Amino acid sequence: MTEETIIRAHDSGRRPFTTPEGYFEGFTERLMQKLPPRAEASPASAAPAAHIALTPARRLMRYAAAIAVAAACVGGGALLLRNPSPADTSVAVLSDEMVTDENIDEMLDYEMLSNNQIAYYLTEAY
Amino acid sequence: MNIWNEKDIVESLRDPLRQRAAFTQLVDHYKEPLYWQIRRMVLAHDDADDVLQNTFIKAWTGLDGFRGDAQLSTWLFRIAYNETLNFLQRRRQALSLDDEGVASVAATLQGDPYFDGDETERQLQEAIALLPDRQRQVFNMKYFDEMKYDDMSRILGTSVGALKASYHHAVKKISDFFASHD
Repeated sequence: MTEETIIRAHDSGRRPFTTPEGYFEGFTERLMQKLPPRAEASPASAAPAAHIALTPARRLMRYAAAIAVAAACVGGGALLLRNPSPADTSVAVLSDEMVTDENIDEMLDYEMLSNNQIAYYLTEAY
Repeated sequence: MNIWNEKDIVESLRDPLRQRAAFTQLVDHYKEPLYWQIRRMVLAHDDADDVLQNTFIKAWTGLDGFRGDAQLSTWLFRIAYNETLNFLQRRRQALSLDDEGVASVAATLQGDPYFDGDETERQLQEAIALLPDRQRQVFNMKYFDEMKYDDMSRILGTSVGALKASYHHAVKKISDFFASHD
């Protein structure tokens, strides 16, 4: 006689546990009343952001503005290269002594470099 | 009556507008199997009812934690298993007992109006109750629910080999109990 057979010999095969009448039928409703409220979805996720379509005129103005900014940058750079003056302090030359841990953040803010640019300059790729 | 479709239910549970209705379906579908798993461990109906409610409340509040990489049944049975172990631990501490003895099992069954077993059935419950909690859970799942070891492994987070060994030890202890009482 195996050990499991010994147990089967002492097992009537029926479930000796019962439940109060209608217990399972009423359980779901009782439980759902007890559930705490869940956090509502944020307005951003509930309603997608409105998409504003650009008219052809607006799109043209946007291109024109971009071209003007690019032209100003190129022109300014050319002027600067044509007149290199030791007295010109518009472009700061930094020595190692000037760059300290304390002022590096301030300098980077002043240069208005993005994090991606900073990361680029700090890597071997530079 | 709603037809159970696990994929639809999982999707609805993620939608704030449909999740309450989906959770109602979830409770309807799993309340009975979860109840019997819990009841065999805690024995008394009132305790099983408490643990079952806590199981579903935990599932509801932790809904965001269900990522869908496991089946809903595995996730729920695991919550129920943990809730049951916590309950048994708290009860043991409240009774100031190191181990739940036969005397307290007999008292629990005797005081429960929803146990109508005869002497043999009471003795089997006493023998099972002597097992450590985790071994008892393994025995119940395998012996009464005829659950596959792979499924048990996913729910209990234990290897199949360890589960087989655990079941073998449980069977040996229960048969020894009967040998000493016959």
